[in-house]
Amino acid sequence: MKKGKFFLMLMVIGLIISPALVFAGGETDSAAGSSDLPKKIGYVTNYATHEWYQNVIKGMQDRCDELGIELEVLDANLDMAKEVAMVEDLMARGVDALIVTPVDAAGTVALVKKAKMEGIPMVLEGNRVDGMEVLVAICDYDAGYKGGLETGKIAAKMGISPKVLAVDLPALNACVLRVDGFMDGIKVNAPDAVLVHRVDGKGSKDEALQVSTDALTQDSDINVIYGCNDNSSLGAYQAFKAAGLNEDELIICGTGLEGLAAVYALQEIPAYMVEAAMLPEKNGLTCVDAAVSLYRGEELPEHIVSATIALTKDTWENLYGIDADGKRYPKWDAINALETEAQCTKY
Amino acid sequence: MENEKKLNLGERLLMFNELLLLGVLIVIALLITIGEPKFISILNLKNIIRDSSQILIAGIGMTMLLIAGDVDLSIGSLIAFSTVVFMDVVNKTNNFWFGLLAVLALGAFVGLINGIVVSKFKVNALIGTIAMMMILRGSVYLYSMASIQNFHHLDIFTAFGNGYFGPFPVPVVLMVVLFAGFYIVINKTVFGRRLYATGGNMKAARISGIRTSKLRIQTFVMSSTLAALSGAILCSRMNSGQPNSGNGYELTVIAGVILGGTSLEGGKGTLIGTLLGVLIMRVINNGIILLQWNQDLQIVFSGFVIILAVFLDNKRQAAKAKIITT
Repeated sequence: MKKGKFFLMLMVIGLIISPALVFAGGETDSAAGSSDLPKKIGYVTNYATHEWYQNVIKGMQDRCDELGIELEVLDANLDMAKEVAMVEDLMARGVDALIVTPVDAAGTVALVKKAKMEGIPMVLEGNRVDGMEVLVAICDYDAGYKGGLETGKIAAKMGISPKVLAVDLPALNACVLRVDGFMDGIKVNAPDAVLVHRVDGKGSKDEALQVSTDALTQDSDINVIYGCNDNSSLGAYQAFKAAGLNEDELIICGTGLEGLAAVYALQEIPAYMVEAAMLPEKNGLTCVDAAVSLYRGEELPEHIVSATIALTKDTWENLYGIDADGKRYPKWDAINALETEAQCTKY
Repeated sequence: MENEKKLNLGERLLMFNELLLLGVLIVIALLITIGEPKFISILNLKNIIRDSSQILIAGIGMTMLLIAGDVDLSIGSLIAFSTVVFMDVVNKTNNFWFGLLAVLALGAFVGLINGIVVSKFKVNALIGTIAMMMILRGSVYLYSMASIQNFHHLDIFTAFGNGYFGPFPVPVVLMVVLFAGFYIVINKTVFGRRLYATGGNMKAARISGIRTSKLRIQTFVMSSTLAALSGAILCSRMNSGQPNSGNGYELTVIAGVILGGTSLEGGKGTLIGTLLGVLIMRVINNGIILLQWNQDLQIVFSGFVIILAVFLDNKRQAAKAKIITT
């Protein structure tokens, strides 16, 4: 009987303290969570077929591998409905943090709210969204400005008055800012620079080739080409070449260094002298770091600026190398040492 | 002749579609020249013809398809795939001809599948080729997510899209040869007559002994092979293979063909009309940039031009019906 009472008491005590232990355990886990790393991060990109995003993902993957975090990447392929479904799916599957490149800023507002309600830290990449916690993005105006500054220096050295063909993508505010920045930057060292043509290359090389062909017909004395992305500058260069114009006094500045194309251009095309590099791998790494910090409950600025820099034929190898398979790799020490703006000059 | 007299002047003019288009082309060209005299510079005219050649090569195939009562919406994706395959094979083999052969084989294969799906599986051409468009666009990304750069810089590769035969750009010479060849095929051969018969009334064509399925498959194969060739030219002009290229290309080609007077209902159309239709579209786009107008007007004008072309086609058909019934 005494034995029975003893076991009964043990059971009662066990029943009383077990929830307390479970709760305490939960608290312990939660506390550990605030100081430890997330187990899994989900990233929904808007357009994984673009080389920029492929290298953003590469930067994320490198950082996650380093930290021992599982990264799951989904591609919305420019479809907002798909993006909503993918983010909700990742939330339902219990990822510890989310990174989202919005297909549409307005359409992402509801996702930001939902992530807050679910208590899932969400980092936005590229585009600002109302109600967001943290945005990781480059400063587009400043990237263009740096490219313009370097181009202006070269133009002054060559003694040319820049007549600029800018291949823009007006549908994207980021591209418009880059072109504006480039023109402001080039005028610092070449005050007589003129924007002769601003055409819509739609971000693709075939379209940039065609519209630049027409623009160069009208103004064959153009001597500076600026592209708001690599496809734009390279498409315009092909048009310049096909028109048989004089490349000796031509300066090309691209934007992005999104993939291998601009690397080859810097190596092989004499006129391709400047690249406003947006360092996608660094952007990806910064997104992961921001997601980890949010997961830990750390305070972050609303906009974490990802580094950009104007590179030339002589300097691009400071930040990137080409491996034996012909693939580029980032030199992380040099990239991580780059200084970034505290905030963008223009949004 | 008696009956034609019963048509008013506008209706009579409509009966001469090519002349009408030529007139429109000249008027547009004159208007642009007034705004920007550089329009008639040799450089600009060469650029217009070079660009149009690439569209026209694909347009030849599309004209044949529409005459036969079919359509192919997959050519934009096929062009993207062709640029990537062409560049990749040239890189891997260091041989231009292997690259070209691979691209033409790809085009023929895609055309064969499209033809079988449409004529044997009885899938509507619009639906079947939209499906192929999706398959090809997805496949090109599976093949290569990134653009493929030119490693060997073979002279012949560069000349294919950018070089000259005497004073004429290579794509223009290619287009002229193909245009002449297919003009004969469409207008002077049994195949051509069967094409019109099939598009005009497939059932009647079948009853009269034409193997319409075989003919439609052959037309799809020719059309896709020509589109792939157009992709190879684009690849040379871009100096790289671009999986993102060719977006909306099918609509540009179809718009030019329809504007040229080829009926979406089949059985009607000419290559001369297509030539003029493509040139009108290209001149409008060129003029908008030369005049420094808002580039979005290119899309707006293209839309208006297509509506106008279909409207004129309807009027023409009504006028023809008037001749027959009176």
